[in-house]
Amino acid sequence: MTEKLHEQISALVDDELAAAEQTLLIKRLEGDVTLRNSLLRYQLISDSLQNHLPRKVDPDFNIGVQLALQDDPEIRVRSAGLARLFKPVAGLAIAASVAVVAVLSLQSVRQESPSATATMAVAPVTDEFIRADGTPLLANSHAHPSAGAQSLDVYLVNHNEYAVNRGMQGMLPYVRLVGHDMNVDDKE
Amino acid sequence: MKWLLLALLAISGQVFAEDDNARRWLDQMSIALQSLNYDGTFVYLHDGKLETMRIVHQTGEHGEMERLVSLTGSPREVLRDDRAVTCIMADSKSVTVGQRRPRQPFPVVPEDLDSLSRYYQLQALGEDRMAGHMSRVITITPRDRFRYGYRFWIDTSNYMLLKSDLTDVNGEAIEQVMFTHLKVSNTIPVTALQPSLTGDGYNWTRQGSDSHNPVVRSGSPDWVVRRLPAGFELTDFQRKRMRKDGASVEHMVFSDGLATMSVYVEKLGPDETAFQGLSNMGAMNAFAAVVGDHQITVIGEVPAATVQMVAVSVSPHKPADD
Repeated sequence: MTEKLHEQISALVDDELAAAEQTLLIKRLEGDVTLRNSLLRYQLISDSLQNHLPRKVDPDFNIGVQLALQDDPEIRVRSAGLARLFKPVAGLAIAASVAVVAVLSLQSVRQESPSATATMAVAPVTDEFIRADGTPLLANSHAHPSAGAQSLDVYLVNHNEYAVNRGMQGMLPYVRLVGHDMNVDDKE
Repeated sequence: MKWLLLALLAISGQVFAEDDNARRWLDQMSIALQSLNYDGTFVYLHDGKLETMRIVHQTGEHGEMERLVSLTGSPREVLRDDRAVTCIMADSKSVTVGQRRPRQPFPVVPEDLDSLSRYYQLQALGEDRMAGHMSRVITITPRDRFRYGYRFWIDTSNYMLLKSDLTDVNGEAIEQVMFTHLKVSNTIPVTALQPSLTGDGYNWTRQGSDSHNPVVRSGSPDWVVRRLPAGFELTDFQRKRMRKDGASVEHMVFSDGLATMSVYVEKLGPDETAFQGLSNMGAMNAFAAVVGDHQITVIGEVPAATVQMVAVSVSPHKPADD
């Protein structure tokens, strides 16, 4: 991968890439797995530096970011470019964070309703979709062996149209479909 | 006593004012998501993983057109227009085409704020800077453990959604969507809305359209859900030929105004294996149960315990063997 490509990806993450270059780069990203993985690393690093990661992440996540930095000499060389990610946080942002913490604090002291507690004990919950005979089934259509039974993917697509229509989440239901790479999940 | 009454009125008035203000922001956000033309790159965080996607959205004289494409991991795309939604998945070599339901007219947030306030608390918080834009933070906090909460960062200049968190009852983010680049413009190039995956050689499944999955019967369901979280009501019911063998599936939709759950009931063939247990896709949970020779599947963007509670409570109005 060329230095120019790395610069373009970094600029894309920083929202500093010219529109014309963006179009070309995104087109190229769609067909290049290596380039997409590079974008993912830059995105991880950017999010980590800007503290935009969720509160609850994999404990190894930061280690993963550090390894990504160490493993990619071109990223290390470009550390000057990443320095611009250390932007000062606006005072209002801090105020908003404090407000969010206040809401969460109030929420954490709320009592669980008795009915909710009872619900949790309805039946043991397995960690994956399984057949009645006990063999596992992943939640995507290609894993479904039956010609007659409905696949979960079809139900998900069908349900999403109701969820999108009624909720305010925009494309979020579809983001789940696109974002959950079953091959990646299987490996982990 | 009079002072106490006045104080209580003042407090309740303030709560309603907060709810109403938050609701106005949410309404404007819903309108912006549907009416603006935009091209953006965002990250989706779930289960400690991060995916990058691009979304292109256009509203014009031919209605809405939308394209969602993965930039990391396996190539996957979702294309939507006013008639259909098409999901192209390269990893499973599958294409699923579903019928697009008509959009709910604005606003999307339920009009019955009093009813909604029984199950969620809406709040407009401070401002935050997100993806280079100033945004207003709006929170929706569930009042019990049967539903999720939301935090939205809404652009103060055009009401576009810049970031959203789906939160559990403890307020912890379990899913995040955050734009890293967003361009709102008057027009979107046609090429930006065209799929990069053709679907050639893939396994195609068409469902939901009148020609492929006609509605057999509406009316009232043959099956009943005996245990639902407070506030969830039946909003849609259809019996459709959704199965590959042409048999029909009973589909009930329940909503509390924000969260939605679907209950699917299908009769299994003699050689079919039933499924049972929990599955999830991010915050979307599914639970399968078996009643006699019928498969029950409950799907919803609600906690796992909720879909489980609903699934195990489904039973026929009449004996299952009829």
